[in-house]
Amino acid sequence: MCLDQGDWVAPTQYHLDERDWELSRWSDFHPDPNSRGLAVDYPVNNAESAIAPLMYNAVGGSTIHWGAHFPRFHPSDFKVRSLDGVAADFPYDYAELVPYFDINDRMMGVSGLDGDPFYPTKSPRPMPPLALGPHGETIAKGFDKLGWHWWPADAAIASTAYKEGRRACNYGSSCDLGCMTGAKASTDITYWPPALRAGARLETRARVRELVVGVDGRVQSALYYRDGRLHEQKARLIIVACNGVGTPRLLLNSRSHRFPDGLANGSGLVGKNLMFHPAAFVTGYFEDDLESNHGPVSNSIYSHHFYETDESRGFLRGYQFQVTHDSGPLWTARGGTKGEPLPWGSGHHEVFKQRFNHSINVAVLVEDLPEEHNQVTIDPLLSDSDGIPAPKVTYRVGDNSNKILDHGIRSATEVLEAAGAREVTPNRVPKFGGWHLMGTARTGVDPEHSVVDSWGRAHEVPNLFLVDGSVLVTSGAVNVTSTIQAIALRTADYIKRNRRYL
Amino acid sequence: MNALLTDTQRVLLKQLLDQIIPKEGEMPAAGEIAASHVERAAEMSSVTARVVLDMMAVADAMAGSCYGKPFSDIADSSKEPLLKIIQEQYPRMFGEFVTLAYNGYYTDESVVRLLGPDAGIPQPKGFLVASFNPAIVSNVRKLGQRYRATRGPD
Repeated sequence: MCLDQGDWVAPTQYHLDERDWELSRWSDFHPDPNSRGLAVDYPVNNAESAIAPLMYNAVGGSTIHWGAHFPRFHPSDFKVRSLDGVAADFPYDYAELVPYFDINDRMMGVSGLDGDPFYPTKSPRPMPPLALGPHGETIAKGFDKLGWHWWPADAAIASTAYKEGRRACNYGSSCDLGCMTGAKASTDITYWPPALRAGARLETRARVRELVVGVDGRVQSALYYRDGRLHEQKARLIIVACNGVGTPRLLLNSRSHRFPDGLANGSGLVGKNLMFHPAAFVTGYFEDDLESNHGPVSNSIYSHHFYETDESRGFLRGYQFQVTHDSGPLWTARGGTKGEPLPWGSGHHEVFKQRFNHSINVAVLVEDLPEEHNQVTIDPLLSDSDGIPAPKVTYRVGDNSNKILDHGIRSATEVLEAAGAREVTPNRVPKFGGWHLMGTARTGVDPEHSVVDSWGRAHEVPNLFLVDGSVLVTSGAVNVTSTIQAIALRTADYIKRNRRYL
Repeated sequence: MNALLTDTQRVLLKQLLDQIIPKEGEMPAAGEIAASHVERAAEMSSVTARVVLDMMAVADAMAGSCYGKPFSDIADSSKEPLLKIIQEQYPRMFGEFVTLAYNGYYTDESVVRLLGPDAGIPQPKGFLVASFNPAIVSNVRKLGQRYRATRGPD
């Protein structure tokens, strides 16, 4: 039985074939739950956070509105402490996750190109890479000119027809507003159909208030609201996947005599070590029409040229360049990734013409190091519409991350200019940049310094497992869904093999 | 339900929108295009209504103060400079008004048609893009293995 606070989103709820399709980006498909304010959303106090956590609450979760950029963590991302003397290591390594990465790539349906020299050899990509078009090819030339690494993105977007009736991407530049064709993987169309066929049950609009612990110290049920009424779902084993903000919120709201500071929180680390990927969007404008809105929003090419530590740069760890597309005319008029609307008045049309379909965005995605002061707590005043206390996020960008951002913005500017940009503008750490929510119930072997063990099982609660971004020890510098899902499959495999003893 | 705006206010709203996005070449001004969107948005949200009504009130007040007549009656050449003063003094309200104008203008069918096929509604047709050319990565392959090995097998 799965309790999901959201509901199914039918493809007809996406507005991509309507005249005012772009307006949904700032209304019912806004990535910030506070701005969106749908009935299934819960508020997040982000007033003391440089970055607002973004999420979507529905069957399929944030994969409904994600960009489906699908890189894996690097091998070094699992051994940051051993290699660089900071943060902590994962208690497992890249090699152990490879079988699960591969299963997941097939389940989600990944398009990509084999042979990226900046990764260990991967299994053949299930589908060929998505087209780059003049937009991707132009920036690729910039990277080549500088002798820097780049590669066509692994994307969880079908480039050909794929399982479950998914059609090939038609390059409509609107992935963040949902995908009407099913080309973009979202778990409501990848994992859920076979799970339901296999007998899984799903209760939607079921908002869990707390997990209840029995006298034996095992979690025995979930109390949840549906249609304003409180229900109880008993279970022998409970798996939580509410993301790096929702999971600590649930655990911290699940207080009891045995766990006065929140469920599984003997270490005091539930909610601590929140990591985002602080980002900068560096946008270049070009003379030529680059068809910048012809393609999946978040997928074109990426570069890991500055991914690994090089201490001569003045910081540890590194960053990814993720080249992204632009979208429709309203997106351009409202300032694109910069978010500053184009000038109004005389001259407006000229600036619009210079920018619409003449832009390339290079996102600098920074590895965030865990810091305990960056955290999710329970807000003393705020609650959702069922009265469940809401989370408060406290976060500031760390010194190391700021140094990486400086370097990344300079390098992104360099590559855009090498590609021929006539104007380059950066947007450093946009508030609405919290796509990746990580670290708030970290994995480890030592119960004093971690919340879950190497299988995602809570150290203190033997039948409680966590399988979302909260279990990550470090953040890597790549989009995290692929790695989160591989870790979740590894946990699922463990549960399946050991279910008699759990 | 009573309409939010009077006929006089509608005229003023169109004149303000015409200044935000003026006519140029074949591209129309925003007045005729976006006014109904702005009015509808104002009717659906009290916050938006406040922005629209405040913007009109401030425009008339400033015009009265500077030129001794309402905004609609001042010379066209004076309107944009006056709005720049309002923008400086009320940046938040003005910014929200500009966004409303853009929302209405760039989701209008006739405007999108004038911007060309690349500006069109993305679905169900999508856009045509030439297939990926594998030869394009030949330089990158020459860089050789660069990921950082860890102690265990990767």
